[in-house]
Amino acid sequence: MAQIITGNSDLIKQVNRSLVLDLIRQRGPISKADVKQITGLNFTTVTNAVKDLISQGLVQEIGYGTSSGGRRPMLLTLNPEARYVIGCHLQSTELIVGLYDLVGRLLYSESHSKLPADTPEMVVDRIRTGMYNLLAKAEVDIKKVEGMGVAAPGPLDAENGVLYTPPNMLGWHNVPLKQMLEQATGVPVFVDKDGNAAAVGEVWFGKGKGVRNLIFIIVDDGIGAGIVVHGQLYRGSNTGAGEIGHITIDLDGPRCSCGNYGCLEAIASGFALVRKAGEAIRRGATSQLTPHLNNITLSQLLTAADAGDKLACDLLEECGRLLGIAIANVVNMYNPELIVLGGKLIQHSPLVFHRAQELAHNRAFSVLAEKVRIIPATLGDKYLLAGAAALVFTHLFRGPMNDLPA
Amino acid sequence: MKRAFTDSDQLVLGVDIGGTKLAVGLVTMSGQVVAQERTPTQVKDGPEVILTRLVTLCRQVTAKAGVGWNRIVATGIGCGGPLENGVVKSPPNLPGWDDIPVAEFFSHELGMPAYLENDANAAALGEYFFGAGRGVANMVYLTISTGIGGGVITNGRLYRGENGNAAEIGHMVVVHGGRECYCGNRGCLEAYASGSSLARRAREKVLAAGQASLLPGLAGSVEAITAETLLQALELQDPLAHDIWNETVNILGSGLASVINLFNPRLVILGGGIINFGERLFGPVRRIALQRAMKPLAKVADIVPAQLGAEVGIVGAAAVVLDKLQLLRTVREGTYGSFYA
Repeated sequence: MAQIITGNSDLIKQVNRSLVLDLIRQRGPISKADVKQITGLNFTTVTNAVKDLISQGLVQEIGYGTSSGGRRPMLLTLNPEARYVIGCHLQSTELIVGLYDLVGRLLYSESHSKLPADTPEMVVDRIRTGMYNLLAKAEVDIKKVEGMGVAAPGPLDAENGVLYTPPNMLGWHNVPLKQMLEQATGVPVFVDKDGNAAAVGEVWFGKGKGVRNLIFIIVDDGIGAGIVVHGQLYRGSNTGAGEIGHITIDLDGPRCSCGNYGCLEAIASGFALVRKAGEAIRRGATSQLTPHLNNITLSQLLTAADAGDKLACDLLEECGRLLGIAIANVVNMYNPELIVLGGKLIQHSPLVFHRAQELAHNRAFSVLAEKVRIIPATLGDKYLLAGAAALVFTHLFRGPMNDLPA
Repeated sequence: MKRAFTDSDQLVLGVDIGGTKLAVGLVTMSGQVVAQERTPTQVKDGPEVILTRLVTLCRQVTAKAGVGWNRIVATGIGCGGPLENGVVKSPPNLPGWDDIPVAEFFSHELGMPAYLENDANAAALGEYFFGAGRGVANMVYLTISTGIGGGVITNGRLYRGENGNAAEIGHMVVVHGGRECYCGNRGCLEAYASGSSLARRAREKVLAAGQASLLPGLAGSVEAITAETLLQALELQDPLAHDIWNETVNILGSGLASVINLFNPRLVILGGGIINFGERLFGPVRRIALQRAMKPLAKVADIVPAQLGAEVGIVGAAAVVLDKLQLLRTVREGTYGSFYA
C-alpha cells in the first residue's frame, strides 16, 4: 500500500492520465483550466494528458463554456460510446452477462442457466457467447471493449483470477478463470469474489460514493462480504480476508460447507433457513411450506413470510438476530463508517434488515456503534453485475492508484 | 521488510499507562530499551496527578540514560481504549479519565510530538517492528491477561478503522447466547478466555461440580482461585482443571478461526499472561483454529507466542511513533507528491 513511487516516468504519466480522466468523468463538462486547478497538475501535463485521451477517443470536446475573463474555455466530457465494459456475475445456478457504456449505463444483459455440474470450459464458452450476443445487439465492435469484470464465488485468488473451490460448483478446483476467459475473448479480465464486487459497485454507483471505510454483506443463499479500507479493497495476506459468512457464531452449531461448525452461513443464510424450515416441519411445526417439504426454496419461504406464515416469520426473525450479532462482531473488528446489506434476504424481507440493524447497534461497542451507519443496498437485483463492471471501471479510471473514487 | 529508520542515534520515549502500573522507557529506533522506570498507577489520584507523575518519569529516564533532550524524536503513549484523536475516553481500567487530551498534554509538557494509541494496538506495532511479527505485513496480535485486547497490522500498517477503535477482538461473540460480558453483549471471547473470566469460570465450576479438585486447596480457598491456580492444577493433572481448560482452548481456537477468516493474516501472535500456559495453550489452539478456519486461509496462517515480554508496553508505545513517522516519510518522499511532479 505505502509503496514509494520512484521516478518512473511511464508510471507517473499513467497516474496523471487516470487523474485527468477520472476528474472529467466526475465533473464534466469541465475546462482544462479547471482540471489544472483541481488536480494541481501543471498545464503542460494536463494538456498532454487531454491530447492523449482525445486521440484515444475517451474524451471529447463539446463546445465552449462561459468565460470568466479572456477566451471562452473549451469544455471536455467523457465520450460514453468510446469504450464498453462487460460485467459477468457467476454463481452456482445462474450466469448473467451485461454490457455497460463508459458512463456506467447498463445497455443490455442476458441471463443463462447454469448447472452445478457444468465444467469451467462450458461456462467460459457460455460467457463468450453471451458477450458476443450483447455486442451484436448493441452493434458494438469488440475492439471497443475495455475489459470484462467477473464477480465469482470466493474464496479465490483475485490477482491471478483463480477460483479455489467454489461451493456448489462440482469439480471446480483451482480454476484459472481469468486466463481462460482472456484466451477465449481476447479482452482483459478482472476477477474478484462476489462480496468485493458488490462493495466496489456500491462505491461506484450507489450510496457508498465517497465512503472510504465500508463493508458490504451479501445475505443470500450463502453469505459473503467485501471490505473497503481507506478506499481500497482489503484482502489480507493471500486475498481471502473478510469471510464474514464464516465467523463462528454457534460453537457447537451445524456443520458448514467450509468444514467448520456453527458459521454464520451455516445458521443464517438462505440455505440454512430452508434447511431449518424442513427440520421444523418434520418435528411437527405447521406451516404453509409443508407441501413442499422435500424441496423448499428460499423464494417460497419469503412468500410464506409475506403471507404471515408463523414458521417462516420466526425463521426470518432469527436470521435477522444472528446477522445482527455477526454485524456487531464485524463493527468491533473493523470499525467501519458504513455497512451495506444486500442479497435476496435483505431485498425481500424488511424484517431481516431491521432486526439485524437494531441488534447490531445494540450489541456493538458503543464508541464503534455510534460511528456506523447500516443501510440496505441501493443497486437493485443486478447489484453484482454492476459490481463486476465496476471492477473494470476501477482499473480504467483509477489506474495505478488502484483505489476507489472518493 | 520496511523499516522506517535505522539511525540508532535517535530515540523515542515510550509511555505505558496501565490500570495498575505506569512505565516509561527510552527506546532506540531498533527497539532497544536504553533506560526505564516503573511505578504504581494509583488510579485514585486522578488523571492530572498521574499525567504529571508520568512527565517527571520521562525527564528522570532521560537524565538516567545521560541523553540530550534534542536526540528524542517524539513520545509514543499506549493506553487502554476507547480513545479518539489523542483523547482518552473513559476506559474501564482508568475510572475518571473522561475526555482527557493525553497526547496534547505530553506534547505541550515535553515540547515534542506525542502520539496516543490503544495499548493493544501499540503492542501489535511493537511485535511487528521488533518481536515475533518482524517482516510479517499481515498479522493479528492478541493480548490475553486480565482482559483481552487486539491489534491488526495490514500491509505493514496498523489497521485503525474509522475512529481508531478497530480490532476489539475480545468482544467477538464466540458462543451465541453465552455468558454475559461487561460490555453488555453475551458470549464474547472476553467472557470466557480473559484471565479474570478464566478464574471466575473455575470458581463456578468448583462450586457446581461437587467433585474433588485441587483448585481450592492450591489457592487457599475457592474465592482465591486465579488463572495461575488453574495452571498449577493442570500441571498436577487435576481432572476438573482439564475440563475447564479444554473448554477454554476450544472457545479460543474457534474465536481465532473467525479472526483468521476475517483478516487473512500470516501470523496470529498471542501475548499477555496466558502465554505462561505454553504448549498447553499453543498446541490445541493452533490445531483447533487451523482446522476450523477456511482452508486457503488456514494454509498460510500460524499462531505463535509474543516475543517482547514485560517490555511490550514501553516498546509498543515507542513503535507507535515509528508507525506515524513511516507515514510522514512516505508522504514526504512522495507517494502522492510525485503524482503532481
